[in-house]
Amino acid sequence: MLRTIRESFLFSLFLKVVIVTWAASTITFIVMHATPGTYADILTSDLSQYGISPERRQEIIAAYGFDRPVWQQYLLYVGNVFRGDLGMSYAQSQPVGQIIAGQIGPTMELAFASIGLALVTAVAVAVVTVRAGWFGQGLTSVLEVVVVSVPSFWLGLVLLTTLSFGLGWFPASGSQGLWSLVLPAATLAIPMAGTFVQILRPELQNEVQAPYFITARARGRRYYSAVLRHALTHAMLPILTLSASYFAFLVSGAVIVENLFGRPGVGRIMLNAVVIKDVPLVSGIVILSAVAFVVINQSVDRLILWIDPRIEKR
Amino acid sequence: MSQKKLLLIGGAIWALLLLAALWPQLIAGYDPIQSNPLRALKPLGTEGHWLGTDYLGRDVWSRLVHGARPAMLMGLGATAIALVGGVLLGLIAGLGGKRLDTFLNGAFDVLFAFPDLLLALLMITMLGAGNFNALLAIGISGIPTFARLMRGEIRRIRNSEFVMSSTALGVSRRANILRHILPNALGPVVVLASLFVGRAITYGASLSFLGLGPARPTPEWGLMLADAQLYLSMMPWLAIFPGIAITLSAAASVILARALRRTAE
Amino acid sequence: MRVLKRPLGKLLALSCSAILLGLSAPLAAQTPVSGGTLTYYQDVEPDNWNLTHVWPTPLLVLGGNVVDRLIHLGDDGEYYPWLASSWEISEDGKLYTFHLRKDVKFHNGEVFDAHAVAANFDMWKADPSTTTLRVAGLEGYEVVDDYTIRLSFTNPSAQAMWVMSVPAFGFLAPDAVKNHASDLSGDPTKMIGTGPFKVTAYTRGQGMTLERNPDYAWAPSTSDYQGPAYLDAVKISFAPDPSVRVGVLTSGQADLIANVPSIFVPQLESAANTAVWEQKSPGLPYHLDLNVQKAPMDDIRVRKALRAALDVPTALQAVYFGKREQAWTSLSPATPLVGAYNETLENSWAYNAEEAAKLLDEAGWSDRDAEGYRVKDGQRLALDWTVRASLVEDQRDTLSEALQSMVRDAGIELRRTPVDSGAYTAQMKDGDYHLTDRSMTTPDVYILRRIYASNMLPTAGVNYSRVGDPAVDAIVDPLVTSRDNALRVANARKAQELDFENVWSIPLYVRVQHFGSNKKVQGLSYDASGWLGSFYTTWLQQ
Repeated sequence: MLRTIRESFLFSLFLKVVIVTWAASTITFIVMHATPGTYADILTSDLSQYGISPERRQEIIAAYGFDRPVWQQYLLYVGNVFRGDLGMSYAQSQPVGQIIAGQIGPTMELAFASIGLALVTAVAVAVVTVRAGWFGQGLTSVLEVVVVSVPSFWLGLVLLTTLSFGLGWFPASGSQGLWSLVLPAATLAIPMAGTFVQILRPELQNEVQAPYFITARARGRRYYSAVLRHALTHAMLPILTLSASYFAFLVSGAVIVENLFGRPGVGRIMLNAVVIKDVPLVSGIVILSAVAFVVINQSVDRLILWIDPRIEKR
Repeated sequence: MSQKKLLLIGGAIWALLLLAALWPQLIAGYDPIQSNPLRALKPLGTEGHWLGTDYLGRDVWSRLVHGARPAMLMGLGATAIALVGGVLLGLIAGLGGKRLDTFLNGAFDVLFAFPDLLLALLMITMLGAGNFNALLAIGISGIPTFARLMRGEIRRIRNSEFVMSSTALGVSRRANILRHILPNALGPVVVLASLFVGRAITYGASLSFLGLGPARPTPEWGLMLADAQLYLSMMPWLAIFPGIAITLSAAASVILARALRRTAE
Repeated sequence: MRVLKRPLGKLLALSCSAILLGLSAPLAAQTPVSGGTLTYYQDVEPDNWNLTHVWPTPLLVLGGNVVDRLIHLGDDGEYYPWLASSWEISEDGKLYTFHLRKDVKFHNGEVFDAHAVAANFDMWKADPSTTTLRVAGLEGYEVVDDYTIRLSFTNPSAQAMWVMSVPAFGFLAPDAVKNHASDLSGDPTKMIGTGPFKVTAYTRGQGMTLERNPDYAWAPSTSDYQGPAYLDAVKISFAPDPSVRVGVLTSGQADLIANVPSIFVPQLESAANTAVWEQKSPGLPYHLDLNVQKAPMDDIRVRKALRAALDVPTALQAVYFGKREQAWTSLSPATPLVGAYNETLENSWAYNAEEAAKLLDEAGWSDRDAEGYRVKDGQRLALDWTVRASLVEDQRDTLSEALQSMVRDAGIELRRTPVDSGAYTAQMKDGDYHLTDRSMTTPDVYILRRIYASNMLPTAGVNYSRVGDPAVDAIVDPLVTSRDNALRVANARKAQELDFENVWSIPLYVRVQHFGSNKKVQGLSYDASGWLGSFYTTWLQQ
């Protein structure tokens, strides 16, 4: 009984989440406390422009708990994290959980839109080029290299210049409506699509030469329908297994793209929080993204096992 | 385009980058820092300034060339940190006892769970912005990737048949490690390292674009892009060339990695 | 008790619109009309909407539409009745008795009276993040009767009056205070004030909507217009990217945009359907503070050489295309107190490479190293310039590159390091810098005390040039403690002179705000603090 519990998916997931949460909160705590100057320092320096007495400075420091011993602050912080309380943002004076909850929507929108766009583009390119001749393949292999090498912030700038300022097709900033999502999503989708094609094409090549595919074609199935029906399902698996690294890419990308396009979202508040050293907010975002990474990673492993039981658990 | 041609292009880019990083004066005609407001914002194709000048009258081409050094330092330096740190940790985990391995592997897993830019941002919060700190942050955030790969490779090779059989034949543990495990495990790691150079260059440029990298007036591609943002609608070329420079150096690193992988196979 | 009663509406003619510098031509000839929605793009979205917490300018600007204050700071630097129709100040300057207007209502219909004011004070006191009370030095209050409240302050201070005139000292409805005090930071729709507009919608990251308060009839006594605002509503969006803001204005998606970069000013000025509004900021112009306590900056010859090595006009022309006026003293000419700006210092110094070289030679920095920098005793003449990264605005990083390049010609290495606010505070505290830079928007000369007085060294104050001299204190202390404006003007002028003679700072340019609008927008008004005060007098041509 105990053994089955220990090996059960949910239990191992739970254990991992606990460890990651602890490690993440510890690391963020150490980082933020090793940095010179606490938020109370920053706050009182702002106030010193208007004049502030040492007693009032002390008052503020005490109000944020910075006068307590470090170990007490640490225990309090980690304890609170496990109770789901990520603390209050210094700069926004609101619970961190609430702030992130308010910003996660636009970021998810961006993430799903860019994954969707990347998948559609990559599948189209791979399916078309797998049958194309030497020239098509050569060209796409060059394109692949270029596309994965383009830095996303520059891609965003180029898209902005040409399609928004130049041609006026898309709004340059904001998050109103579907149109404003196109450029930011494309900025993230293009490098991802490049990686997808790199993985998809060799897989597809193997699949179209597999006996089952040839049989299907022999039975009169149209080429593209056969590819889409059979080969693609198999070829997609390696992309799924790599989804964890796309998650990291999307989180990093959100920081850049949201700031570049002036979109609301977690990435935008993250950079701002780093600059003004809003300890609880930075920590909250790091902890939540680490936990999300673990959950996504584990679930995808599980999903792959369910789709294709032939794959042994590593 | 054939693989050979691609490799040729990659090699040419590398040669150019190294030349620019080591002896920038050879191909850049102007001082990259000295401003000359009288020459400011000259368009493309101006005589003497074929790529134009920026808002302080500095020659764009010269700044691009001088930008190769910080980029190369970032790419190679961060990779060295990630490589050395990752290989050492991976070795310890892969060759150590079961407990140590479990512990380290758990630690890699945890670190791996932080998206690397977030990890770099965290580190920069602690260390402060700056070129060296950005390098350190990117290098350290790459360690878990290398460590995981190294450990996995060692495990795989250690359990492979030929190592098992040579152990059975009485070859010492140390000789085994040196002669078989390490050379075989390093192959994929070197491929990853050459890929990582390009990634570090791109990340470094991203960080300075966000204002967390080297201080002005360093000629650095990410900074040049950040500055160009304001002039985007009037002088887009200011933003085009630094981007091309970053893309080319990252592409060169991808091409090298592919070539290495092919050789290893 | 000496009674300082303010004459009601004596200076009615000095309206808000008197100081605006619109480029849209026949401004005075037109009669304002009511109606229409103004679409406004602001650059920065406040992190925290609680007016009493930290005070970023963008918040104060938006908050000014929603809340009113007891007193109004006129363009002449004097205070005028607003929600308080009159007041008395005790002899020792610590007790203020305010007589409130009796016809004021909050947006939710609640009555504005002494009890409502008291409820706000209680809320501020209970909230550790509230800065308003701390800055003003407000100690306590006493409700004298329904429409009279007496406030007691720890020290007499010219600043107390100013704090009481900014939106941070704005009053919210008792219901909002009682039920929504903790929501105020994140949700400005809970900001229920008495102002000309009310917040009706808000989404973080996207924008907010202000709607006219139809009952508004209590504008400051100096305003020649009374009654509800002209505009039906204001739609505010946030766009940090300057080219995006210019884009939405030129494409007609916006009526008004904040913070136009100089490079776009000529374009918007010359276009047929857009205009640029310019407003100089009072207080400290953008300048470099030189740390006189750290070698080699403790040598006045080095400080003078640094000033002589900077070709400020050329740098300003290159970076701002002539859209910034050079600053000559440590005070902005736009500071309200008449005569306080010492205009005799104008053109008192200029770029002079030979003089810089001579001074440095005299100071012993005569040798050069391989890179061309001056050295003395094997030490390079390198100066550390610490910058607070979060406050870099207005292309000052670009300007700094031009300055760095200029002093390099003189053999000085200027190492500029942007750091986060925490590290900045720590460095200022330890005095571990040669120079730093800033501008500060303040409507009074008392700011000079904060940057020169010996008890204002960081972190108690912002004396970044680390002047610690009792003789200087004697000059700058009255700027805060005295109520004799003639004395304050004289001492402020003297302080600027001392700054020039001793090179405590190097003034660079007078901070200026450029708003861009289409030609329909009229009646944009700034308050005496140099902020876009509110949209109260703004109207749209139909």
